[in-house]
Amino acid sequence: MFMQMAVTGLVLGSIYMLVASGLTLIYGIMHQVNMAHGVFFMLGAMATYYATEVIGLPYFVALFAVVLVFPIIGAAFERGIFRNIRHIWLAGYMATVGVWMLMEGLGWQVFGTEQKAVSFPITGLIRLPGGAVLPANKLWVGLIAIAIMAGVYYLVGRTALGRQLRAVEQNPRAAELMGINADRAMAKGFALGVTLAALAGGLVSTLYSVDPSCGSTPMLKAFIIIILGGLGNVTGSVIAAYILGFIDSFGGSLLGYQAGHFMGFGLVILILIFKPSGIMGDE
Amino acid sequence: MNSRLAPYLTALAVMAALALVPPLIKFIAPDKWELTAHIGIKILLNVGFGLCLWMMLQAGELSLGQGGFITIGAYTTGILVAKYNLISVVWLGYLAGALAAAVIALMLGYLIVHLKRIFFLLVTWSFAEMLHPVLTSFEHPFGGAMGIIDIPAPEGLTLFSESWTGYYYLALIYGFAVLWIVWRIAGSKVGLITKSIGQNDTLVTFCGLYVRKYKVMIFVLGCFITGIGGGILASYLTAISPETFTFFTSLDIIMFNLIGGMGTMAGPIVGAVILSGLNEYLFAAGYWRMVVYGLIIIFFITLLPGGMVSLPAALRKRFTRKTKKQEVGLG
Amino acid sequence: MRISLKSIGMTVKLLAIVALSAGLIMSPAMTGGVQAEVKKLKILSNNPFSGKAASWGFSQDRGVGLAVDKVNQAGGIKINGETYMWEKIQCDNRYIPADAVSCLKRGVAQGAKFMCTLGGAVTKPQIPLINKDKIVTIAAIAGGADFTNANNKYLFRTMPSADLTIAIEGIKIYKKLGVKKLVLLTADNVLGHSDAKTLKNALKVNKMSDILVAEEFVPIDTGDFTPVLTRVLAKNPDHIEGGAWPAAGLALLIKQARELGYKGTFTNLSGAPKVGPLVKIGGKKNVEGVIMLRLWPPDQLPTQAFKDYWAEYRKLYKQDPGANSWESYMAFMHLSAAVEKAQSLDPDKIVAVMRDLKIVSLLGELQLIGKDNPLLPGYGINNQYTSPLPVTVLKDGNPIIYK
Repeated sequence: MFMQMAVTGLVLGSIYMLVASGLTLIYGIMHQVNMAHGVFFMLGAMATYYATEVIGLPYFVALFAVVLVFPIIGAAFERGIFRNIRHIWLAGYMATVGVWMLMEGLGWQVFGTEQKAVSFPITGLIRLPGGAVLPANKLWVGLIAIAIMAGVYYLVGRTALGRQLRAVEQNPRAAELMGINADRAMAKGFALGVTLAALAGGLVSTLYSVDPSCGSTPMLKAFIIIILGGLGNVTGSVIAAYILGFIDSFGGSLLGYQAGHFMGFGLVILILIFKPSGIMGDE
Repeated sequence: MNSRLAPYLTALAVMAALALVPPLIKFIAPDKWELTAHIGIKILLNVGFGLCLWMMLQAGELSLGQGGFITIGAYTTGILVAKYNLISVVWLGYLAGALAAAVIALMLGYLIVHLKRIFFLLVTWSFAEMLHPVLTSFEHPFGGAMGIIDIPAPEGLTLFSESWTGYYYLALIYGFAVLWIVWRIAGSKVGLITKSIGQNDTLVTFCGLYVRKYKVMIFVLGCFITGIGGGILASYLTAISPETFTFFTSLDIIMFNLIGGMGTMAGPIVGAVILSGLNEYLFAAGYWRMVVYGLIIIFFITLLPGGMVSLPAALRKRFTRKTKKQEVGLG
Repeated sequence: MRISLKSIGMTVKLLAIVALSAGLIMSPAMTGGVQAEVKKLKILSNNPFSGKAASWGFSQDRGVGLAVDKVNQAGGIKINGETYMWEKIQCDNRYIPADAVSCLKRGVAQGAKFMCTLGGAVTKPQIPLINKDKIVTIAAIAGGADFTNANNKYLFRTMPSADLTIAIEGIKIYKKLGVKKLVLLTADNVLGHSDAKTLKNALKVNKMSDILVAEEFVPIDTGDFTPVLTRVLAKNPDHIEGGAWPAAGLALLIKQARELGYKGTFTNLSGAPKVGPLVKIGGKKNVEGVIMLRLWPPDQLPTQAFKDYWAEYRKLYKQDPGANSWESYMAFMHLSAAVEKAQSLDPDKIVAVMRDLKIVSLLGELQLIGKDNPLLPGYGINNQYTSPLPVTVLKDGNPIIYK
């Protein structure tokens, strides 16, 4: 049982890490808490559903299509709504709430109330020592999540775009003086965050069911993670994701579901009170 | 007319007009009275909640946990009055609910008032979210997933022939009492200090004032008043459960301020009237309610950030600019 | 006293504010001033139309809606020579108990004397108001005597109660399957907790208490059951009773249990989930052999009237009807017939007629039971609808009648 709990914790941690990555990036670059993260997750899942189950594309082609389409959607939202108001933190926050409600409400109208499912192409069961089992689809989703996270690290740490984003994050005005178009860089950052959310939706929805509110629970988890990790701190959120994965797994298995839920939020309050910069913060 | 008295007279006149609504409607359209009362009660209680948040906003505290404090007020009242019958007077139950909300606000506030902006918002939100698993997990005293039922109406409400009228006047008194308290505080020394804290707390510290004390004070007071409203709501609904007041309740209270405008006290009042009225009309609409909500938020954020209160000024500005252009064109 | 321009402006402003605020509160009274000549009987559809339980809400609402249309097309009902038409008013309670109370208050305010609702969690807090205002209510609720008893004269249960499903059919199924270690893993809501109580009672009566090895309650919107499944599978159960899950929850529960190597059987005795999403989300192979109650296989419908209903529902909503749609359809038909037979709008007279009235509906004879029935302990009142109760098992992704 211990082995099984550890495996479940690792899988949940990887999933949470992927779900939280987009949220962390958008806060890190734009200092905006994106409450619409869950609907972008949902839209990614829906897009994958329609591409695979309705149109009939292979699963990974559908995921690739998500990667191609969602940067445009993200950039459009940034240009249309968020750009003009991002200097007022509350307006930015509430605008994302507005987008969330609008898109979820429309989602119920457009996609209907019936729950849907996306099937993952790889199936099977892997038996591990210690009596633990790991479904192949969860293993692959976890591995792809880690690969995507590595990609994000490379993009932010090693490329010209990443340098722009980091410069804008540190000081938008100074970045502009250095010849970076801060508006455009932020649009790119937002588009990247939205794409990561949608990609997480496309991947994680294969494990669960898809409906227009399927992004709410993942978003809640993502919020706990980015607060624990320190808002905007990518490494912190990766560590926090695995901590939460283990809390949910061990807490849920040993104490029951509600206890795990309570512990997550309790940790958030403690962190916010005593170390608002998060577990990895250097305050 | 004395300008110092004018606001009080206005408020009194509005209150008197609203107090005349029940007999008037019962006379004109008796079959519509219950619906009118239901909407009126919701609006008046929401005005109270909106004003409490407005008061905290002056000190720079944007709480996304007001739904949690309503829950605490409502549950305390329900537990003491209905579930265990520890208090036989419902009014005292309200007071106990408000005290419980205030005590918890004091403990939480003491720890968190140094947090600013999004951090304050997130920690109050997490606090409200944490209530849910606690309430569902314990059959005693919280009643588990079922919550608490059969919460009685306060004594004296039977003076009226039917409960709608009684609750209407109760809500009316609550709404205007909150208005009066918040008004008096906003005009007092404490109010001025909190307002300057909201604008620049470092400067206030330099003036030799203990910022933390005032912030905690306003937070506790706001939650105390919200707790009373929670108790009244518990009586009115007769039943409460962990899902009764959710994240969306807290969000609504912020939206009253957003839609009405945060600059003046009229803001949350206008916002509460518009949004809770709209909410009642959209009850049958299902998911369209979410769509309308979303559109409203986006509209106000992007096009009218000052809220409804700023609408006349915005229109005037646009209008005068146009006429000026015309003048130029004509000249 | 000097009258300045400013004070006139103030007075005008004051009057404007007074007029505006009074107008805003009174506006509902002003709308819809002219009433139509036809007399209306209003039934409140107090159901979830958004949120996780929305599919149940739509199903129930559509069932009642079809019945309302049917009665109205036949010319409404005549009471003392006057014709009444039914009108259904909707209110979205989001499956939140307090919203449901708010909806009921709204409905009463709009003049509804009848109501249909669903879910034990949202019905329970409404009971004091239902009794006080004498709202004749048809409700799809599980549980047992805690809802249906002599105190709740106006509340009629449209679906078979847990005393009929779990305590009778459930025990039969467990005996037939030869269950040795039973786990109850159900929703953390009123329905789940009430099912647990009935199950434990029934096991005790049948002297099988020792087979129940664990009971767990999980929120209804849970996506990942793995932690809690790890906990219960450590007890090596050979049967999992889901109790009250809607399709997605049950499907994920089954899928994840199979992934963790669980080989035993499943039942879901009070949820009546939709088969389509269940098979799609859970996977055909995983959900094979799941036993459920209240679901009719589309190709094994018992009567012609039911086949017609099924076809009409499919035509209108492009999907198969859910169990609570036909249950509430039948209950409404029964209610409407009782109102006409009572020749009165007095709720007490109507419910008295309802208790003894038998009608022929979709599944054959429909009537109310509960009084002096040894199978329904503590009911003491004929407020439980009864009609044939199918036991279905999933085979190859399709439901068939279980023998």
